[in-house]
Amino acid sequence: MEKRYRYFWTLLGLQARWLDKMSDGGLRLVRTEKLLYEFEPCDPGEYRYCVEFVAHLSRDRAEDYARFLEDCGYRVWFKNANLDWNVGKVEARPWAEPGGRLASNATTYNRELLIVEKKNDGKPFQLHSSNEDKARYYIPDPVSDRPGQAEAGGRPHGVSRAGLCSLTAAEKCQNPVPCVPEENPV
Amino acid sequence: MRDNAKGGALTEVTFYILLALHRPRHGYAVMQFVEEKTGGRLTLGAGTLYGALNALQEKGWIAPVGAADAGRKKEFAVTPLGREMAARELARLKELADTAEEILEEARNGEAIPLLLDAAGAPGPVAG
Repeated sequence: MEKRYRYFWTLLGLQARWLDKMSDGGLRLVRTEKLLYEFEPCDPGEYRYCVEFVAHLSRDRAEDYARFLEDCGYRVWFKNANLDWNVGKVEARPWAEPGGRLASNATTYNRELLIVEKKNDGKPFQLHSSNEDKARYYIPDPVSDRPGQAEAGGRPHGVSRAGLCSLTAAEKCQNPVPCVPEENPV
Repeated sequence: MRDNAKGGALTEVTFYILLALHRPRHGYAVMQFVEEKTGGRLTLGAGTLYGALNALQEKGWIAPVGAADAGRKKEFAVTPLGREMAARELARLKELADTAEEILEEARNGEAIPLLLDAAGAPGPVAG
């Protein structure tokens, strides 16, 4: 068992590249703690790693996602992006999806990142392959993701060149940060 | 997934997923299907696939198959609506392919191509 102590904060690519390098050196991840990474021997370059930010997901969604990745044949670890020691911590995450906006030790606090390992097949390891998906990765889009919204008037909108929102006065802005102030609709 | 369902156009990823799910498959099998059918031209990341499967489920185009046991991989299949969307997409692509074939055939036969640019790339003579 090899042990290393590192802290990467939210530098996802740096963490993944470091794990790739450890694999190139014949060490495969088996366990993580706050600062600790524990490795076991493997063939040099046998595994490739990806680190993903999942703190914007609810606990159920994050666990469902991790299970899906395991079903795909990957190994998955939740990892902290914070370093403080705490019990009963609650953090507000207004940018998260519903269900993930109050993160506590019992849900998604200290489980902000997902380390994903797959067997090296010579191709770059990318979890997000389509451009739309990459563009959406950090930005949940409640308007287009809600079923039936497209028909119900929740169409994507924004500020036009004239500086006016394309919504009519009767429609209520559904964006997380409304482009029309509520008390002063266009 | 930004599929323009009313205008008819699906993204390539969505269409391939719908095709793959005409028989029940789990996520990894969908990834393999897409890679195999496109000869590796289109690879589907697991994260992208997860998002796409969720989006299609919310639209009601696909649905999980069987009981979601702890030990078994979750499988999906198309719904009647998903089947219809795939059929519509095929009709749209056929129309597009027919038009393209017709025009390119004409071009190959040297018919009906008024050249707007001369060889140097400058605009050709304008009538009047």
